Amino acid sequence: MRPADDIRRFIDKAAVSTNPKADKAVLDMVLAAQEKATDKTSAALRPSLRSIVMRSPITKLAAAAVVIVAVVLFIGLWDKSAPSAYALEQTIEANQGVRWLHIKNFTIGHDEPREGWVEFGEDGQAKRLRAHMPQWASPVDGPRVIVWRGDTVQMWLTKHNQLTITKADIPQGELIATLQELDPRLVVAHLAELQQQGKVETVTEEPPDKTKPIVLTVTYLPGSEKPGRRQVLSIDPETKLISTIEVYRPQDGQYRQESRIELQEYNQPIDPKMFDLTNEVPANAERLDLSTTDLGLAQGTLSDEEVAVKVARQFFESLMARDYEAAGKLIPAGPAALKEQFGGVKILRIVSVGPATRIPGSGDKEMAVPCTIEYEEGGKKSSITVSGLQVQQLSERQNRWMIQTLGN
Amino acid sequence: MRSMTEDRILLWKFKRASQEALRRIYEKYRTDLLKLAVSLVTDVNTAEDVVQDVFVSFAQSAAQISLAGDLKKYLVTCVANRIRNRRRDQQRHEAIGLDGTDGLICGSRRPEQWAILNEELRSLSQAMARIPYEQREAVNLYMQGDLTFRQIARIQDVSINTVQGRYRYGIAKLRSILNGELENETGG
Repeated sequence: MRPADDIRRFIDKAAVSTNPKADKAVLDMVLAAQEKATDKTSAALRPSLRSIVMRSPITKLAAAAVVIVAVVLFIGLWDKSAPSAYALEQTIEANQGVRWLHIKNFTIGHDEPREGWVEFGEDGQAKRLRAHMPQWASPVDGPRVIVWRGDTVQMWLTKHNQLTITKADIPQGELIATLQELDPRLVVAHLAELQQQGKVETVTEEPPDKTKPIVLTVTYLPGSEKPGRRQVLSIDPETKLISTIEVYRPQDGQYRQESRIELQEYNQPIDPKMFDLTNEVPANAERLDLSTTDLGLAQGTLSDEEVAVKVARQFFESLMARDYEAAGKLIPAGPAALKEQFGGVKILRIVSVGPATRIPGSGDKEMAVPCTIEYEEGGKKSSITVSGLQVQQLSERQNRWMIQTLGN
Repeated sequence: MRSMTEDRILLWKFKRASQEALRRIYEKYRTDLLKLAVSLVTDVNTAEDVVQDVFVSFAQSAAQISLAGDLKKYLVTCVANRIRNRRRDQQRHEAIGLDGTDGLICGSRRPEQWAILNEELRSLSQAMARIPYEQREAVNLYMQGDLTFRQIARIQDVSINTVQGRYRYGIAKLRSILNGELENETGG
């Protein structure tokens, strides 16, 4: 027998087991590291169905909307609670004339900001938007640029050099819903209510030196929705427009800054080219134009359970046929990513799909569909059960369904 | 038996921030990596630190990890590289008179011993300690890590022939050491 065989046999006999208590401690550390890296603020950006195909653009729109709303929000707050030489109406009036805006949102601990450029229509509604998300804010798929153009949403994943274009009518629904929650008029009304209830305190500092900004500090009082939270706004004394918003959170008896939002380049026209990525991305970028494609499967007369099973089955059938284009319409991933992932696997048979069950607390339109497939890899046959595959309704209006994830 | 398909799905999920996938990867590979690390560094505490740090780094790097490739080999290479870095740091510290400084910065200590070694692994670890590190690494990465000589050559930054030579010498010495121990134990 060869020496190597002896040693291999010996190595095979050598074994290690683990202490369950230490095992759990290490696993907890590992999971905590993952959670920290992913960052809760970017949770909505995880490439689930909503994020890759739809939600990400909305998230950016929402982020911009938050800023815009925040501007109005605090103007309203000051008006109600902090009478001073500075008049709230001045900012409201100035704000109404804003057509273009550049926003930088710095999160403490990260050098690179999230950044957005917004063009407003005459009605004051966002008309076009461009957002840049750095790596830290988008840890899974890397830096991304998103442009919302009203009819379509373009998303460029720079790391993957992939441009995805989707219909805007799908995210717009979510946009409207988001804006409804963030509509300045509604938010201001809410704040006015808070102020009447004595749940916020505001302090206005208006320096005698008119070259220095007006500073407004807003503190949420106990019993308010964000007790202890503090926001400090700087207002240009000449234009009466807000230049920065700093957000603080109480910690260990002190206020620790969380973020700083800079509002710049008011009414400096933004080059229309900024709102079109098609000519901006590299020529060799993978282009995935889904704007003319219906994603997911139409529910038709099928029940939720039936359409979820049909989506899952059709996905694996497409993989089995190596039709990654078709499979890519059923899951938030491009054909290239699917080919990379599953190209080396030959799916022999779909052993079982379903039954589908509703995922508790998911709003009724998310279904779990267990699937078992038989496959061949490296000349060996085996089978695997994909538990936790989730299918969800893509759009209520279109009533189409798509895989959200292969499992969590 | 290790399933590459399962690993692909786990990686897919892991890149989508699935904690369950990371938990499964951890449970699937922690003992393999601990055994490898114990064989390479021959000190249990250090081996535990290395493997812990590898998993923590892995957990933080979902965005950088490619979907293609072999998950086990990736983790094995991480362990090997981390140990190499640690050895290099230690040598540097020793050179500037900082003997005893631990070059490895382990994020957090475990409450108690993590790895429990059987007798064979203790013997193997002691035997490994008696052969040069480069040979030890070649033998372990080939036999335990399932790496090819080409992949090991890349890690060691030498030619494939050199790796094969290190492997052969390592095997021969290990066999001699282990045979000697066996003879001593049996009085032979």
